Amino acid sequence: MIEFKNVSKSYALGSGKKILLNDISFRFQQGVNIGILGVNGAGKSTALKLIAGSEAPDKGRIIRRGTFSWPLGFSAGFQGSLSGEENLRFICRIYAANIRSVIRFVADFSELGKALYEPVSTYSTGMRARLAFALSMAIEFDVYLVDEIMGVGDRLFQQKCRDAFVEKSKRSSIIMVSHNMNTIREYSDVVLVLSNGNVDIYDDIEKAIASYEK
Amino acid sequence: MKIFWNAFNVQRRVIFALILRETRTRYGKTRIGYLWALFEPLAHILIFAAIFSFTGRASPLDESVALLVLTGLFPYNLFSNLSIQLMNAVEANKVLLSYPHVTPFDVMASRTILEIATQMVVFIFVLLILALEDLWDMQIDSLLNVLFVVLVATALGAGMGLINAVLAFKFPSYANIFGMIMRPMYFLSGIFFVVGYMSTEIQNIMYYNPVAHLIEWFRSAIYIGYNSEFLDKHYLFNFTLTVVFLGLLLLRLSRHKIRQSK
Repeated sequence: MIEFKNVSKSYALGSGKKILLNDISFRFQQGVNIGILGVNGAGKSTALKLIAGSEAPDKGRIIRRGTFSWPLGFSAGFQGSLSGEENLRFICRIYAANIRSVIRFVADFSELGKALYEPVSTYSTGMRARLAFALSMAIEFDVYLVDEIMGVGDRLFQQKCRDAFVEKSKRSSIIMVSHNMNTIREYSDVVLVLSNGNVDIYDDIEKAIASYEK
Repeated sequence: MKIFWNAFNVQRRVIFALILRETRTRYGKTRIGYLWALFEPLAHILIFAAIFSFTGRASPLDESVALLVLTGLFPYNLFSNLSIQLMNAVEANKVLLSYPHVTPFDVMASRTILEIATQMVVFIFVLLILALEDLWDMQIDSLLNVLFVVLVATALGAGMGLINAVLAFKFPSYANIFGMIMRPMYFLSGIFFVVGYMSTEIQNIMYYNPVAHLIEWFRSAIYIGYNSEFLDKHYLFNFTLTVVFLGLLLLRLSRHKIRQSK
């Protein structure tokens, strides 16, 4: 369950202030998959960070029930000087996950091979995304927060991600940010469209996409 | 109640994970890694102890110059390393602050714990070397007071480190300024001499330096028969409490800003 109660959020931007969310309230039950749409800079990623709790709202309250992942994105929180495997260990410790089984799963799923034991700073963007994605699939959450990360890698890997997500969605739900309308269509039950500090909620995904593309 | 217990468990896990990670990253990719962290203060103390011993300088407190150097450098290093380690903690852990569980406070706490542990191990190790070389008679005046000084030095260093962390975050050039202030502190804290035996004029100036009080207190706790007249615990406590309070307050006020900076 995620609930926003009169949440406001803005950023200091040079001289002025950019308002991303202006007194927003909504509430979704566990099990609802949410897609978030908005132009660049509309505050999609910030909204996801607010949901995760890695940033705090300026005003209002955010209530979560259940376990939430961190926002899974390309800039995932990996320490560049440490190897992929060492990063996994750190995250497992934070989330009290079984280190050995997570490493086994990630090694298998990510197909990184020996690179898993190399510093993350040597990874390509795609490799990082694969590591982040595999890791998130290895740890159980009630809600997975996904920032533009769907559709990385080749076709085969994409299919693998899709299968993993379908499997997950039996028990967990997804809140995702994406520019890809097909991904939004495929995974969301509800779509939030962010613009100028307001949030419009659409149950009909086609309507949401139409309003966004206008 | 259950919520608090959960939160406590998460924090415990995060701080533990951060400490382990720090031991891996601080000294690069070498296999011995963290041993370097121990080696550096160890070398610092041993080199100065050796220089002063060979130049034939006498300790005003007993025959051992090495013990004088050790009892001066240990409280000083604890304070100074903490204040600098915490100042740089945010920058070094920026990536990890993107995890909702990891807070700026956790980052500070883990560095503090690791620093105390490191300095304590080094201190005990050097003490053992001195005992083997007959430079220490294996007696101390008051273990309780020794622990007290460790506690106060930690609080003072960590409090200062918190203030530094927030100031360095707000004003990036602050780190250089603090480095400049700390350089003379090395000579004005009474590491290589005993403040209690200095002239009143010098003591009057050094009175305002809390680290000088720390070192005097530490030596009073170690040396049997030395009780510093210079030491003003009242001043030290007040100074420390103010610094800790200010540090925690500043961190609390700026924790959201620290998190969302990329």
